[in-house]
Amino acid sequence: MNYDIVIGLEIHSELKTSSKIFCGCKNEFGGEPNTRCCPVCLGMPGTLPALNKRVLEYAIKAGLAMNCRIAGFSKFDRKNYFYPDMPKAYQVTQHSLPICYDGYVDIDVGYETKRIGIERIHIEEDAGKLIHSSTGQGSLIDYNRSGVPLIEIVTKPDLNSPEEAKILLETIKTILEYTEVSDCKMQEGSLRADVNLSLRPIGSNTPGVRTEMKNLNSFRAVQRAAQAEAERQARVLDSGQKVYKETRRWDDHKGESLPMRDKEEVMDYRCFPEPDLPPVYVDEDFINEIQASIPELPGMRRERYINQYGIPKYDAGLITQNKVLADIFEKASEVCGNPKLVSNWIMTEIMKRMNEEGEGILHSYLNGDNFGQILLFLDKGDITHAAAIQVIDVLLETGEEPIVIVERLNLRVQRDESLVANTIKQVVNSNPQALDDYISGKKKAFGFFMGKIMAELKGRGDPSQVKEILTKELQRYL
Amino acid sequence: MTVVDVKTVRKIADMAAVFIEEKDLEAYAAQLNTIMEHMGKIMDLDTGDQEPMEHILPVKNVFRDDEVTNKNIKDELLKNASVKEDGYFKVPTVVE
Ligand SMILES: [Zn+2]
Repeated sequence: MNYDIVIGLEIHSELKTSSKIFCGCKNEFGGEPNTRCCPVCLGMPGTLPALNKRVLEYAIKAGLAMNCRIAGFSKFDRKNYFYPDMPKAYQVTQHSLPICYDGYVDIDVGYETKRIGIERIHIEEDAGKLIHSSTGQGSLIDYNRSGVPLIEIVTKPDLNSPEEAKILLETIKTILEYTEVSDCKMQEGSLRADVNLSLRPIGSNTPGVRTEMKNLNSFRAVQRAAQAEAERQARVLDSGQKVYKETRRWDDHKGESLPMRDKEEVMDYRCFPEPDLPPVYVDEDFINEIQASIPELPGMRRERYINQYGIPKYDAGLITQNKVLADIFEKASEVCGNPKLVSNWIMTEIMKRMNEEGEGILHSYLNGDNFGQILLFLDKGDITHAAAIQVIDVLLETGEEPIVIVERLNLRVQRDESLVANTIKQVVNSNPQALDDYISGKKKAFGFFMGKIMAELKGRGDPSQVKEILTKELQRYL
Repeated sequence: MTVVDVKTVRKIADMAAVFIEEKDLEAYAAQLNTIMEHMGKIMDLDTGDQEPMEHILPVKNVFRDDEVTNKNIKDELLKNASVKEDGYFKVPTVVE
């Protein structure tokens, strides 16, 4: 049978505040175990949590950037469960009254734009980390992550393919980076997603039974896990069996998922209002202030690049997906005055290096100003295409100014007319066979001379100048 | 009216990680029923013109600024652990 895939995502994102959500411990990834903890985030009896105001601001900021409505009144709840990563035996979250609700995010699927509903965004705390003991006995706990602020973004089940799920996660990551509420380092777990998926026979209105896959921490894992789960459910349904509502764990190495031991249906979190945290009221002024601090978002920026700079939609989309890269593009365009040239070079030379060496190259020596200078040299014909690539390589290594690199490596195009003319004469004279060929009408010989002359000029000749003088020189023999 | 039966007591005890002797389940069920009955009186009240109460505290908006004020007090914290290893708290195996 054929089925429609129905997917909703729950995305957890750690907020990049300085301190934790309810105490003055440092919020930072890693570190020596249990060195960023206190009685509050260890859940000692008698301690009193207090909400970090920036957490509230960041959650509202993320909500506004995803077109949500902001609750004038919200509160916190205790979600009760026993697991050693949460020493209080409950997680503080927003169960009944989330801070943001009823929003949407537009995603690009092929050439179409699709609107995905955001059900809610709520604030909660992260849990500690469990690892195996090296002795083989017991589990060890590091509570440095306990109490790190999180937002959970819950989408409506508006996604209809594993690819759409991946694109939505990419889009939301970009929004969180632009608004600077999270650093979204997926390899460090600061952005992770749960995939809720069900199948529905095509044409049917009855929703199928859904399963949940937890803690997927790469775009690829989200797409693969969703694909594998859709196929698994189809096999189950096709064989006349039932899909059970359950939580499954995705194994990215094996490419398959298995049901988790703790069955979801026996879990009863018994949520109730958190008595230690007073409710939160936000007014229009506070919301407007945060609204005013939201920068131009990727979608808007992309449209502006297409209209203002005239670069292709595809290029604009890729460049704006990364805020730092987009900033480099804008500054470089201003410096060199040729946005299309800048966009071409980003799409080729810069993207290539990002793929090979990672995004780190955008955070070291390269910036919009020096990149723009290199392309200005190129655009004015002061250096060749090959030399421009060489300058980028050296710059990434040494951080020298482009002009310093160009002078030091003697990369300026050789335009001295008498020198170029002499070189041409010499090359023509020392290749009589090629000259004969040319005279007898073999036009290929022209290319041969060009190559020889450019090599003689160490790649620094200006091709159009060489071509012009060479044509005149050869004319004399015809 | 019986709302809490032995099965429910067992489930609540499980969720709260409390051990109850099989022979005591009946007694707990009876006691919990008395409590439920008493609390059930609230159902007879007319609350039609009352605003729903989401929270019991009369205060609101208690915040702290986003500042790191705590230092590393790992050794002191680990004194509370009954078992520790390499600077970690240690518990019976839970990770698969
Ligand atoms: Zn703390």
